[in-house]
Amino acid sequence: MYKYESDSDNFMDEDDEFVDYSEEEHDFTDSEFAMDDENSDDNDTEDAGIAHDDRPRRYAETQATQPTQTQNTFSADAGDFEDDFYGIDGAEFEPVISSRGAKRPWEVDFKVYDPDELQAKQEAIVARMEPVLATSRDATTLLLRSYLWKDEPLVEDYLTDPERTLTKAGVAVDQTRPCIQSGDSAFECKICFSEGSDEEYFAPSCGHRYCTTCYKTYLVGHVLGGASWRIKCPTPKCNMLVGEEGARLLLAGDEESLARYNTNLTRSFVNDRDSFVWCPAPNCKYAIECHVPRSALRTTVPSVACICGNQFCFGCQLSDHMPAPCHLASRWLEKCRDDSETSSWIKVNTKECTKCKSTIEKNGGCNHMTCRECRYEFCWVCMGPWSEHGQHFYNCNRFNEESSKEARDSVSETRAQLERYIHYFTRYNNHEQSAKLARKLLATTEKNMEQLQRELTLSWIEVQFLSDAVDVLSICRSTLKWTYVLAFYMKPDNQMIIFENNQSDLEMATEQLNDLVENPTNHGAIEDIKRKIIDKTTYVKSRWETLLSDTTLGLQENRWQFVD
Amino acid sequence: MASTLRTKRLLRELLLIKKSTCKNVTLESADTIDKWIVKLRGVEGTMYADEEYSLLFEFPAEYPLESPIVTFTGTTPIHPHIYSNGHICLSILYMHWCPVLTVDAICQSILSMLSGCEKKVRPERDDVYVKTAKPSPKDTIWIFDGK
Repeated sequence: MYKYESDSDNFMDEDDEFVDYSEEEHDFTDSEFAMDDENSDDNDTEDAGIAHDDRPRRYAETQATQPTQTQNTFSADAGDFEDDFYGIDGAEFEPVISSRGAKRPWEVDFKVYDPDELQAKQEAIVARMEPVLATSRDATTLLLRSYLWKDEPLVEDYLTDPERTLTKAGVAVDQTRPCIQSGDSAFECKICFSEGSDEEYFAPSCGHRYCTTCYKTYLVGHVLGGASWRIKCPTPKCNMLVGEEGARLLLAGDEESLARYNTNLTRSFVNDRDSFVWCPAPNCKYAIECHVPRSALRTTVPSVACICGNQFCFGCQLSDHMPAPCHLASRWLEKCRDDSETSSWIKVNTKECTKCKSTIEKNGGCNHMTCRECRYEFCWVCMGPWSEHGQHFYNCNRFNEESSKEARDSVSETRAQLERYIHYFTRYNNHEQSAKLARKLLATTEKNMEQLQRELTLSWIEVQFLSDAVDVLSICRSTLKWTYVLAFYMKPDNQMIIFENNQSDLEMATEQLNDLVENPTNHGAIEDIKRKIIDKTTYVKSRWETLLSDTTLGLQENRWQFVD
Repeated sequence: MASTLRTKRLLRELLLIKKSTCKNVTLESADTIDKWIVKLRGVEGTMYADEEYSLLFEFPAEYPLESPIVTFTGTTPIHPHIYSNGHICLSILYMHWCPVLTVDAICQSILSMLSGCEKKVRPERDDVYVKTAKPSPKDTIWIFDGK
């Protein structure tokens, strides 16, 4: 047990201003404590770690709590932001803090399926629909598949006009079961022209019979090409589908094709449905179900995690880009591909013609420039028109002339946009690089942990704090990275300032934690370091949670305007 | 398996086409089983009446599950869907092929395509296509007029 006061590293402590807070906020502190109490064994460290937890404990009785700096600033001069900022009435705020086990605001519900479970899921849906439609199992399956598993429109159509629904889906109306027969002397296979009663033929419910060999070759060809339930009868203009029952009858004994057929069926089940995607990680066999509609992607970031460890966005299958929504993330990535390197080079090495905005690199010669595009003559130093320079070819002393100033202003606007982009890009890039370093850090951390265990005879569980810290670092880096993308597209207003404050809080804390983990020896004795790291980890985590829940809420409320 | 199916089917088709009574479609030569030349004669009363053209059929190993390669050899009829290198824009030869179609069915389709013609012109951008096209029309990506 240690004293809270000694925890001078938390930058919150520097803040001694207090604003009066409402009852609701008092609730929020209470709920925080409630959580801490539940969390029994590491209780003390947890408490100390949440920085705004440290003072509230002392001020709780006097009803003045201290949340973050951001909150302070804004509630002080613009009281009506309060509610937007925290969603402050206790009920909404609670899930963020007392989150253990519960769903947090930025999380979406999803479920991971392995191929067997997918198969079982399909069978379960078919079994559920079979009595509703009162058709054969084969027909039900085909109907469901051709309606892309949307059961409601299927039931509606089927109950209004069963025959039409069946025909449209490519299912025979009279449901004779497909079979393999022989012994019809009038039979002739229209593919290979074999005839007579010796020929064995496949008779599906559409009535177009072909010899088993031809039908099977036809079917296998399609199955190897990736098709499953969409395989039609080979007869021209016949739209009937070769159902699962028929296909299995024909493929019986051919294990390889049968396995392929099953794979194709499962694959189409996932591909046909909007609420399922395959995990995009290489060689991953899992699929993920998540019910976030396409239309909600502008306001929700459905980040999901596969069993294989890959964390990705359900909406666009890019790697996790929380809190930036899909459309901004993809725009940003495209922009980065286009011009990250080029633009910085251009910025350093070129100027723009003040008249036509062509980019010009000066690779020698005097200051008298003639734009190759528009033939405009100007001075490289002051950017003003050359005509006013007279005969002073080699120096320019008229930097502050009116015309030169105007010329520079017109250029600086486009430059400013570029600089803005570069500002965000450097920060985005920094976090990306640091995240990579964090992964390396993990390796050294593991070594450190072993060392600690040996030197101080600590138990394994007692040194886990280091790896916890690194884990928190990586997720914060990833989130921070994408907050810059969000900020880049945001139109500047007060709401954006709040967002940026949240961002900088998290960033500052993350950097401090990074320093602690990377150079532990600079920070005193081992017990001390351990305490500091644990404190900071918990604090960073709580900042991270605050930022994510705030952006999640903000996106849903359309709190920010984005540049188109 | 596939090759016996192919041979059986082609022999049967050869027999049928030789016996065929349709005077607009006659077999010119079938020196090997893989490559046939069929003579088409324009239908009476159409723009192609009395004109004679040769159609080359090449059967791939997967025939009849895969379509044959069908092109005009020698002089090609002037028609908005037939390029001067002999390539024919006809959906059943590519995308809409199905194994039930036969050489005779293809010939009848082409004859009906010729008969339905209202104006003897080459397709648009014929010269460009002929210069850039691969030898087999199956390597061309065709866009068919929907009917």
